[in-house]
Amino acid sequence: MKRFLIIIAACFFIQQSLWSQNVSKDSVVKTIHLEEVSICDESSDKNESFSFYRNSKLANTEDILSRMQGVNLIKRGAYGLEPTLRSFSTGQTNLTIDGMRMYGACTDKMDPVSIYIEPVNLKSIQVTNGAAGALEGSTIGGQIEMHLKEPGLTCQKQSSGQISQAYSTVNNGSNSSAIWQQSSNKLAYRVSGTFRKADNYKAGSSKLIPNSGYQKANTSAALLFKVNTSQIIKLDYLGDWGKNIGYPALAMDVGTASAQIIAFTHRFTFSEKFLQRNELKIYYNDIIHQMDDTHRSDSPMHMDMPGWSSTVGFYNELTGAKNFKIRLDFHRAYTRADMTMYPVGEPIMYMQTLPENNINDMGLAIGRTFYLNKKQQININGRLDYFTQVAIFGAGSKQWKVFNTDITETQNNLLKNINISYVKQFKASTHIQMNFGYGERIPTSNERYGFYLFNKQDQFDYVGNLKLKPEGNYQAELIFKQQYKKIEYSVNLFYNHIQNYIYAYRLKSYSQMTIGAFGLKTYKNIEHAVSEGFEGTVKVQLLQGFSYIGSVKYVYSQTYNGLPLPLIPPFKLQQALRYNFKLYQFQFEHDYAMTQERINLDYGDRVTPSFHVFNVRASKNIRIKSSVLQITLACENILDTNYREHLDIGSIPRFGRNFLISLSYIF
Amino acid sequence: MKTFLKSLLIAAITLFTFSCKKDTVTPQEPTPTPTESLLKIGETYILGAKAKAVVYSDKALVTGYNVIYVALYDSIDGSRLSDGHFNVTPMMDMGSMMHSSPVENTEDTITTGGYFKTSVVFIMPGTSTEWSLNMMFNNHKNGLTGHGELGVDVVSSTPSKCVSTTIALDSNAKVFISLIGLANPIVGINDFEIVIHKKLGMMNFPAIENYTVEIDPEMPSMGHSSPNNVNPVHIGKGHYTGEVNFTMTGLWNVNLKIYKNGTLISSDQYFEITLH
Ligand SMILES: [Cu+2]
Repeated sequence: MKRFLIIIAACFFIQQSLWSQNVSKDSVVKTIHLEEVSICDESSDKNESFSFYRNSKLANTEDILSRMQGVNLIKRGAYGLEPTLRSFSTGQTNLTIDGMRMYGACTDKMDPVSIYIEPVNLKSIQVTNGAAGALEGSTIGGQIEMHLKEPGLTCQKQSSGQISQAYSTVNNGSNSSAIWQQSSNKLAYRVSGTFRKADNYKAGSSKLIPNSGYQKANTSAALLFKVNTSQIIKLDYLGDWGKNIGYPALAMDVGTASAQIIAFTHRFTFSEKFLQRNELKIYYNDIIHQMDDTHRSDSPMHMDMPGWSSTVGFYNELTGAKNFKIRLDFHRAYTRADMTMYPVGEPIMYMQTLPENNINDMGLAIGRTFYLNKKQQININGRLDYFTQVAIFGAGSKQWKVFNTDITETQNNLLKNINISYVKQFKASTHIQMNFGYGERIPTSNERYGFYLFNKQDQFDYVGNLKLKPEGNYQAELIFKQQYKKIEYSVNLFYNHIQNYIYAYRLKSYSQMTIGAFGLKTYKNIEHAVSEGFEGTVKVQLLQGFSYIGSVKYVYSQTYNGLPLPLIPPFKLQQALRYNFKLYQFQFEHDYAMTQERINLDYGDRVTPSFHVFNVRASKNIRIKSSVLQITLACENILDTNYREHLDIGSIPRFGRNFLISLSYIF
Repeated sequence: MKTFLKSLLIAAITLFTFSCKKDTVTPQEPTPTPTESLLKIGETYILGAKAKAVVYSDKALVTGYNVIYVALYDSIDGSRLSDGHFNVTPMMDMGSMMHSSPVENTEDTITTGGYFKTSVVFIMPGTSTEWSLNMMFNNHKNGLTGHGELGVDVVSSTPSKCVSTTIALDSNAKVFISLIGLANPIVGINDFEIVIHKKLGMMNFPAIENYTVEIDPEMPSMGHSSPNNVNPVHIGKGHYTGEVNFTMTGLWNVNLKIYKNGTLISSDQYFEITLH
């Protein structure tokens, strides 16, 4: 039971850098690493705590993400929340699935990669801040990597599965999922599927939020084959289909969206002392995103905005002793977005809002640890990326002529990332880590090639700026941790100095395109911006069966001339008190955010009032022979508070009081 | 038509070989054959000059700016005539009254590509009993001068390629603004050319050379403009050229603002442009 608690607690805070994981006593990370390397793993789905946590306690990946250290979510609808890391958003961070690069097909950022992961196929989420997270791609903000569940080889033939059904009252939402897995010592496979459907939800005080329902189906399949004692081959497929997904904060919704991901992985395990493993992955993903305003009564004329994205790539990663890692990777991405409007009795109006373009990236990363002595170590990792970005000659590039710009001219950027961390262990209980890093990121396709992309937040259209320079971030971080028998806590302080920060400004005397927009904006590199803050967590074992987890996060940021950066979350506290008794679990949660008055008016930020939200959950596991039936009941937002978080676009309030019930049968 | 073209082709070839043999002074003159893109409007004899005129244009004649190409033949031996003074006066017979319209006659006495090129701004639609092209030709081959008249059908251009307005701030001048080109507008940068004439009498339509023009393209159903347009500037004979930019397909209005001596005198005229 204790182990169970620790894992649960740790799951809440899967976090930290790759490096700190290697030195910390983070049990969940240990567990995951064990899973990865063990050849004859007893199916991890049998681990009740994991299944419990994933399938019953928190309904979706976003709920899990929102409780992770340093993570805040930008919300545009009930679905498709965009994770940010210490206020760095998409483009500044890398969000990956098993190390695969993917680019959203939506110019309105409706489709962060995290939507393709459901709790039934999520193994773990690893958050790495700053340049320490640049092993798999240049970044200034860090990396959020989600790992897909994979079938494990077992010494004996065995099969297992799970069926779950959940219902929530706030949006008449249902969530059905199933897992099936079979394994032997040679071959294993795993399939899972999820179907979710929700109507418009009610915010606090029973206010119905129109255009907030959604439907989606997700399936994933993995096949693992052991070639011989040192080689494993794995095939992955993930498919995701969304339909009628409402985005109340935006002007449009999603009619249909689909994503397909396929990957081939080859793992070679060395029997040598220094070299440990080589992993080669070849992958392809394809996204089609059909955005329209069919369900909007207030739209002046019918409009379609489809978007496409496909990426092909590979990586080869060699790992060895002393955390040695060398990784070579390449990916090529294609993105495009169109807009077509249908005025009554007039010819259709067509525009490529994101002209067809390609990004090519070749990267090389190296990392290793130097042990100074038993209690001190230095970790170094670095990465170089050579990016080329180019628009394809066509309708989109011709449009750009009106700005006297030839976007088919190739943009080349060499990006440099380095992170050095120093770790010192005082006694057994105290741990200090200092990170110094520098990371870079290229301007996104939107920032370079976007053509009159409407931003609902500030009501401006945006055109790209071909000549943007990459952002570069000098960062420093101090982590202090103490672990005792019944209490452990950590404090992280961080500082980012971002050079050539990409900032939007108004193009005066230029006309907007979108009806109702206030004008036209573009991007420029400003001298610098600064973002700093802290995170803290406390875990306490109270009386027998009671445990407490509390965490705080805060970011303060400003441009070189003192303007607050847009979309910066206020101080936030998340705490939970748990009581475990036999196979029962009770949990009481409290979330609090301070008011955010440091806002960027240019961007259309609005002051967000503070709020308190309380949730309560109860669950019970019932053993039926060798199977387990899990029942979970929850009431979220008990007081039916009408509130919103600062990163909620369009000031749309969040869920009101919500009763949830879920049943899972694990066999 | 086909046989006509054929005979013309033969005539042209013979003429070309003939001129090559006899007269090497004008070797630059290309094959004077109507290209496939030219449409025959009609033909008439130029009585008194022993000549026949065949009138072509690149499309059917419409209200607005039209370029016509006139091929002249010796009415006796059918040979092509390339030397002479030629001009056209468009005439509208409305029964109760007659009037002309703006015209740009060539000052060349030698054909270009085998044609005398004339531009006519038809200021209203009409049938071939109403509109006519009155042609005058001074035939250098025989020194004779004559006249001919060809009735032509002029249909309304939709959307209109010629707008007219009475400008109170310019002594109530009746002004005609005609769009030139832009038959196949593209998303991106387009050349933009207009010609402005003024009505000084039934038969007098001089070009206006001292206006300042600003353009502002607008999508009427969305209310937006486009960036980096180049306002047309006067290049001679009432022609103003600039650049107009379109950011997307659909219906655009190119709004015109007209200034004289720095004073805005007209701002309600526009051309409709459709991009497919
Ligand atoms: Cu979208």
